[in-house]
Amino acid sequence: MIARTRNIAMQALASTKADQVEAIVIASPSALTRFAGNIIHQNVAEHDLRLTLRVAIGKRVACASSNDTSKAGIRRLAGRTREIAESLAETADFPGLPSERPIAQVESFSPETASLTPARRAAIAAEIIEPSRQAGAGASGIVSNRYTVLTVMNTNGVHATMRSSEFRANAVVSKEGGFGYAGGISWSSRRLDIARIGRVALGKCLDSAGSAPLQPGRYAVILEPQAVAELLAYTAYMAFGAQGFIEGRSFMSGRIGERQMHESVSIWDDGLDEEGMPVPFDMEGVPKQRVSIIENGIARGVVYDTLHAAKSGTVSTGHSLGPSYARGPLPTNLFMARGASSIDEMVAGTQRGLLITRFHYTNVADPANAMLTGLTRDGTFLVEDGRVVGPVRNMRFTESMTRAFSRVEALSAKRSLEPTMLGAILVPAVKISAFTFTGATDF
Amino acid sequence: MEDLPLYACEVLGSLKASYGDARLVERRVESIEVKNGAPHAVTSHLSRGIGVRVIYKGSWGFAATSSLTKRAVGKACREAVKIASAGRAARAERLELAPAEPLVAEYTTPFEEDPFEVPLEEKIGILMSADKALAVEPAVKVRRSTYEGFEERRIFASTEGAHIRQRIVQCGGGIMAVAVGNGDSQVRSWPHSFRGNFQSAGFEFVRGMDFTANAGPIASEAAALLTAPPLPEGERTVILEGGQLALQIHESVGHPTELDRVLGFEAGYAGTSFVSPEMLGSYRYGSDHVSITADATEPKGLGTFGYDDEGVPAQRVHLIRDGILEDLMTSRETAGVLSRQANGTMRADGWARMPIVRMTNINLLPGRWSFEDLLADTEDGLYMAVNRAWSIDDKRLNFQFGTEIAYEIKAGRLAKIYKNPSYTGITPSFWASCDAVCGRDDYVMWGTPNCGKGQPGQTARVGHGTAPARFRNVRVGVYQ
Repeated sequence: MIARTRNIAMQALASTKADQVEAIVIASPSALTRFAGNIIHQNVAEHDLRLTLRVAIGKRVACASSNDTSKAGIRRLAGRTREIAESLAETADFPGLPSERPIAQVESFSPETASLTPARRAAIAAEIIEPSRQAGAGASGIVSNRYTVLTVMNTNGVHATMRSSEFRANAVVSKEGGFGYAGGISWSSRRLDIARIGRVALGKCLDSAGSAPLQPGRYAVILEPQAVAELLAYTAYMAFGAQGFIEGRSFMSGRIGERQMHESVSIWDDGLDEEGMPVPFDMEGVPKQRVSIIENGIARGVVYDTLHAAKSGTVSTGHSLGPSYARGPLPTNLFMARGASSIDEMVAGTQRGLLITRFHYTNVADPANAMLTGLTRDGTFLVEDGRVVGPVRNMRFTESMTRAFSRVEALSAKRSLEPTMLGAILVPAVKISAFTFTGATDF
Repeated sequence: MEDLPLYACEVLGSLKASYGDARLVERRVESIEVKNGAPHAVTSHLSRGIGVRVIYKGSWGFAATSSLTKRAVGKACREAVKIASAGRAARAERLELAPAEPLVAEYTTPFEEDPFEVPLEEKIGILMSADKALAVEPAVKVRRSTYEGFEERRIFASTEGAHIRQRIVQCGGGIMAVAVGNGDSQVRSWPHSFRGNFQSAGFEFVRGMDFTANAGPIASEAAALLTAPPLPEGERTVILEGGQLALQIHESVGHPTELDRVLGFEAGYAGTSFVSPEMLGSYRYGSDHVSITADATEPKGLGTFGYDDEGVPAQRVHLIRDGILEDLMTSRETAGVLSRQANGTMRADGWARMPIVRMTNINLLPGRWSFEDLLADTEDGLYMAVNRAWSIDDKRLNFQFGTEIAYEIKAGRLAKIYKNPSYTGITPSFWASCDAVCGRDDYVMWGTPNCGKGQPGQTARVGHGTAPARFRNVRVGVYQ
């Protein structure tokens, strides 16, 4: 598949007449086994290969893509892309396509993971389901694998190819009004403890049955890693990319060097760290740089692609999401620094607060104030006098992330890799001294 | 190539599948964004492939490929059967489909002007004109004008003998102004946020929107919001603008009435529903003013088509009639639970995804008020317009929405504006508080082209017909 993506990229460059040409070829066969109520109800596989072309005629720039990668299909795509570019006015701030830079090697491919069979996925699903079946509970979730080959080439000498694999498994278990979640992501299926997913999700479900209502208000919260990762992903979406930063829409705009969060909070993006889901280059073929975003609570920087770097007089950090994505560069390999605590110690040190498994349907409420809203889900527990006293019904939070992460009291030493809308994020559990809940559900 | 779905059904038959279908789909999307006076992103995308769905020994299997050769399609058929075989390991009961007549039919979206035949230069010209009109307000630092054209050609065949060809044509766009100042940023969009409004229609729909005429007012409002007060917390009478009401319906009526969610198929991801099959026919979902249909036959909606993705004809069903829950959206697999026929709401995102129960056009039937009369009838309240944020719990009960702007209503007239407006509620009590719905003159078919559901993720294009409606005792100003 590697040779095929390279050949298609080379054919595309050769077929396209323009001042500058970029070809992105992505092949990403994937499969997913989905279960609900302890039975597999959906079981799918997909094979696709897509070519995206970006051409520049002077500063007239256009982009088109197609999954018809026959010779005729490539010629048609090249013609269409050039035709679009010819019809456009110049983009004055187009800096040109990037030039070749050395790319690091990273380990993110497992042949076993890339080639998981339907029978193996079914067996993993059965392993996750089994504790729930025995307990009379219902498990719902997925087991999925993906194999990705990405090639980026351009007429300035960029010639980058990588392959990676991805494995995901998770479960939501329910019984008698209780819900529990556990899951994980890795580039290797061997790195996930499958038995733990079924066991932890069931345990949380059984513990959360019979939940009691709780008045909205401000509470100390102990956020498990999945909850932390969700907040961090949306914060990054709002504020850690160069486009919003340059346009003054990010809370980081004009505040580099100023304190934005508690001194124990450090956040960075690192596409080369093999504890995450490493990716050595971005969708322009630019090598990934480690970018310090928040260092000991101080705003340090945002991530750039070639266009936004040129606008800011700096260099790309390797965070382009591709020419089709109009909202600019974003970090997709985030890390948050660990602390020295544990969830047990956080609970023991809490007079009154909430232990939260994860959040649901988080969304941006007010970007200027880094305000998010969302709900707790699949295991929310009241903590009193240093111990978990029982489950509570789900609560809606509406809170500024700069304010919340300025009230961090403790971070766990143990971190875990959590899937989010912005890739997988390695985060600790976090205790925040005050977190605002503006509503409640009745389950 | 067009015979490949029939070929797939032949192969599936030879593999002893008890049921099989195949969908050959070719999708074209053209997107244009003009930002701050220049084309920012002009893209064209083509995606084509075939998805094969099979029931083998009582379990589903699905495989999809973009290789459009008989060899690749045969391989996909065998892979689908293999996947279904593996699924049996964790499925005790065999699934059965509700009966559906195998149809041989064709459908094309009615339109006047093919959006893909309109020259790119002309489309960009429309957006550049709007951009220029947005530029009148100095506080507006980001101006976006967007257009998108969408076309899908689908050929469906099943082992039962169905063979259906469809061509769906859609387009739309919008404009947006972001004002920045005093450490704040405020946005106003027209006619709707998140890229505008979209319909199943030709380019005549875009020409009729007149972005340029509407640009100046929204630019001014975006700037004015920078110095407007935040909406104070309170319990108020609220009139929701039609686009915001569309999303309210989407989240608090559309998703909870999808039968697959009700049955727990989405429990591991998007969640379940507070609705249960036992509620049908008796549960009071809203006031007498609330009648809501799932209507794939209403013209112009993004959920308008001839046949769904398992070959069932487009239908109009009352989900809620005079406030009472009456029906749910169903598939051939799930309809049997209600002892009913499938009502044509199985939809797939392109060729590479297995169809799942999806909204079509979920419409609040218009009432009798004119917007002017409804305002005049409101002594003290708020008019909240154009969605900015949305969130709802995993059973679809507790929701919170933010809008771009709220206008005070005093003595029946629109008065001062508020920034960062929000409102929250619980689904049935909110709909029970509806005491007026505007009429056909104010009714608009809104397009939501980005509805996410399912794993692997699927994006559906759905419609919502609405006219502004009034709700009493709504909690507003959740955050300042």
